Amino acid sequence: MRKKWFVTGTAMLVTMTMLAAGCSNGGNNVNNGGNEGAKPQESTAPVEESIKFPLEKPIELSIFAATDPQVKKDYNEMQMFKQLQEQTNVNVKWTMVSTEQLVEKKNITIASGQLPDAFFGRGVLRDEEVIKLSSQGALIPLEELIEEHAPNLKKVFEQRPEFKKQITAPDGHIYSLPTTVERDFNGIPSALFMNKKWLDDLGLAIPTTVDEFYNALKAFKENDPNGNKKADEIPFSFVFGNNSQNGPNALAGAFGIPNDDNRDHLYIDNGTVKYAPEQPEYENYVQFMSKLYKEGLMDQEVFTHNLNAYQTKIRSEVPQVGAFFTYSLGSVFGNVQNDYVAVPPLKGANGEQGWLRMPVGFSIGSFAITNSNKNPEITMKWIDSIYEEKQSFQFESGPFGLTSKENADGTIEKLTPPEGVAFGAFKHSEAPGNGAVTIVLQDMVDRYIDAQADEKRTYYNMYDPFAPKEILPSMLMTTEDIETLAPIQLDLGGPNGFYSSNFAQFVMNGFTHADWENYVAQLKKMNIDTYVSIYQKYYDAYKAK
Amino acid sequence: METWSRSRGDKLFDWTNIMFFLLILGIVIYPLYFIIIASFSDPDLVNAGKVLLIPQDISWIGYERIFGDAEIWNGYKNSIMYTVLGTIFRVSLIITGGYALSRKDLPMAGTLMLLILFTMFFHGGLIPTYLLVKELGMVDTMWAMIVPGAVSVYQLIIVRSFFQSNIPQEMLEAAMMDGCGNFKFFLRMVLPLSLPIIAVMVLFNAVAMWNSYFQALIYLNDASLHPLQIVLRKILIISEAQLDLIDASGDAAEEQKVSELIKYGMVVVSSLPVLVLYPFLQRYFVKGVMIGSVKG
Repeated sequence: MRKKWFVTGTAMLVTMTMLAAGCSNGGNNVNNGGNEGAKPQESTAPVEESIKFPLEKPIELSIFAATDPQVKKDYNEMQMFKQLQEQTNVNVKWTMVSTEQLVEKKNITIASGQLPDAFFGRGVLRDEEVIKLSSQGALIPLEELIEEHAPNLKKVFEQRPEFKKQITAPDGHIYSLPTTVERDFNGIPSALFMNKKWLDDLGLAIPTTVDEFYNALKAFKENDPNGNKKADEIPFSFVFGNNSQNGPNALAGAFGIPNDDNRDHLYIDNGTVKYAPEQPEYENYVQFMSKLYKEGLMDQEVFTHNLNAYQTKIRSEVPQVGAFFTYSLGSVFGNVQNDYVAVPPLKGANGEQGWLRMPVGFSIGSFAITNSNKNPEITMKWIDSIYEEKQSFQFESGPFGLTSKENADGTIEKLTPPEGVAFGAFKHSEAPGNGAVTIVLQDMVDRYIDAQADEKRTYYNMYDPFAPKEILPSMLMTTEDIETLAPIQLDLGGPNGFYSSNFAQFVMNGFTHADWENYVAQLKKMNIDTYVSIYQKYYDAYKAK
Repeated sequence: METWSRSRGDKLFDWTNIMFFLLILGIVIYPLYFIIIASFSDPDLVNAGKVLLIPQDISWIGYERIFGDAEIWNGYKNSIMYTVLGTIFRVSLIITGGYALSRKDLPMAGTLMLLILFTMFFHGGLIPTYLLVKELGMVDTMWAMIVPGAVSVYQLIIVRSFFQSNIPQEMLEAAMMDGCGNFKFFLRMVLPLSLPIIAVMVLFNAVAMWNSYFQALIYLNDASLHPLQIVLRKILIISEAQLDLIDASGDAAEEQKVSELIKYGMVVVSSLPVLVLYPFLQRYFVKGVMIGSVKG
């Protein structure tokens, strides 16, 4: 007991100390390391052009890396990094921190003022840390270094100017480099699946409108479509909460809400940022969900079951679930089951149609150079060599010849791991894998032969025309705005936040229009307008960049 | 034995008593039992709530993975090493320290005790402690697990109280009369008389060392030094699927099922040593704590 209390207590202390110590220590860094860091940048300026890999004289960098838990050996012993070392003659002393320990280790490193030369790894720094560290001078601006020493990155920015916009801090500098794998089809995270066999047996067509959908669910409930003489059918199920793949958010489209983004519920209507759950259309959507719930057409556990329980229901040997939301059939069943088919976006009462679109994973704080780094130019050139197209691909998915191979026609084929080795462990045996700093653009992704991705692509093509064209990108905000947003987000978001608890209550107990107005009035009191206006400000700035 | 016949009331009482405690026993044991059967049943059935008393669709793949993983063996080895060395180190400090503080002829005993007690309520905080440990060169060595925080003031007080009440001043005087020195007295008289408290301290510290996690998290970067608890957490976290990767699918659906098995299996594997140790030391456990606290 005591021990437990101690651990929680210390954990809290850590966070608090962090807040206090972070400022003061970080401040010192500017004075201590700032000079050292700044010197080579200016004095060696003429020499810069002459950096040629491999270096004649090896240098050593100390790098703090966020690694995937599946990584079992030192980065220096991995084929990908051995190759890189030979190419560059840069030796790296890694501090490898598995992602589940990242928060504690990173805070200690930063607060103790002993900064590494660089931070490395997908999402190693959170957006607000990039801003905070850079405002203390602990991270150095990179845009000039990119200009002079990062040809690969520059090429990417030419193809994708929005990347550069996204990593640019509000003060106009770039302090961190991103990681992204452009699986464009992930932009449509969820698909609605229905049991085609049940529909056929009941003589129903695939629903095209909300009303037809409702009728189909009712038929599922009443007619024992799985034929086991038990009323164990769950006509419709999903996972409520912050879950874009398995949540029902895409359904809001049929009620006239263009995008019910499950993280912040913000969408863009003709350049104006709006909060979906306060729109009058949202009331109709919640009303419909409530009707399904009360008539037993919806899984009564949608608010309580977790992903595992949900997927178990779907996979049930005797099919139980009639309709459900998920990423792809392959991701749940391990193969493409024939009973279920994806349903095109349903039409609402006035013909509204829409589907959920989310940004493709883009991690802003994946690589940063600190002020204690004495060789920022070499470091930039070093990381840039990882950003080379094929290099990037291999750093994430494993070296060619081991986990995949390049065919003559340019496609990349997956190789199977040896007997008894899990795919994850195989992938992380010679490359940093999920913890890699990479930019893999769509072109490279498309060359990879992947049946599951192909399945997802068909859903993407089906829903894409109905999803909004514009969504809020990830953007860096000032510390001030982050602090203004934090309490509002705390009140609204989260599993017990105002939005979730009201949604659940409305759906389960039903509600009147007066209840709804009350709820909207309450939202106003919770500063929803400030919340929206801050995002509006950044969105406008983003578009102007 | 029964020299008088028990009344109906007595029997009824006994029965209610037995039923009541069986119920409590069931409540306590069931979760443990469930974890054991869930570690080799089909995870889908476990999630669907169909595995309640009897394991179903038995599969040992979870344990195969656990025992096939070099990292887990290494973690086991480290945990045992830290536990054994750490327990010896801690218990010897606490026992000797507690004894010294219990002696009435210790100069400045009050001041010393006050200084020690002070650390119970105030400490330097995590960052200064970390920096100290780092400056001492213990980061990324096994000593970081053993040395920092070795003496728990709370335990020191228990031990001191035990000595104060169980080793009378007269005994020391008598021994001294017979020509016994301080060391001899401690080794020959005090230690044999304080087996219960030593057993309690061993148990306290062994369990704490076995479960210790935070120190390893903070001080150990080198994966080859990680104790079992850290490895365990790592394994529990792996299973979450990420979609923004080149090959997001892998064998995700199947892997997810296996990882469920691994989770339950790891709970069994990591708590086994403590479960085995407990019954042997348990009788000292209660006794020792009582001695320390009541008379303290």
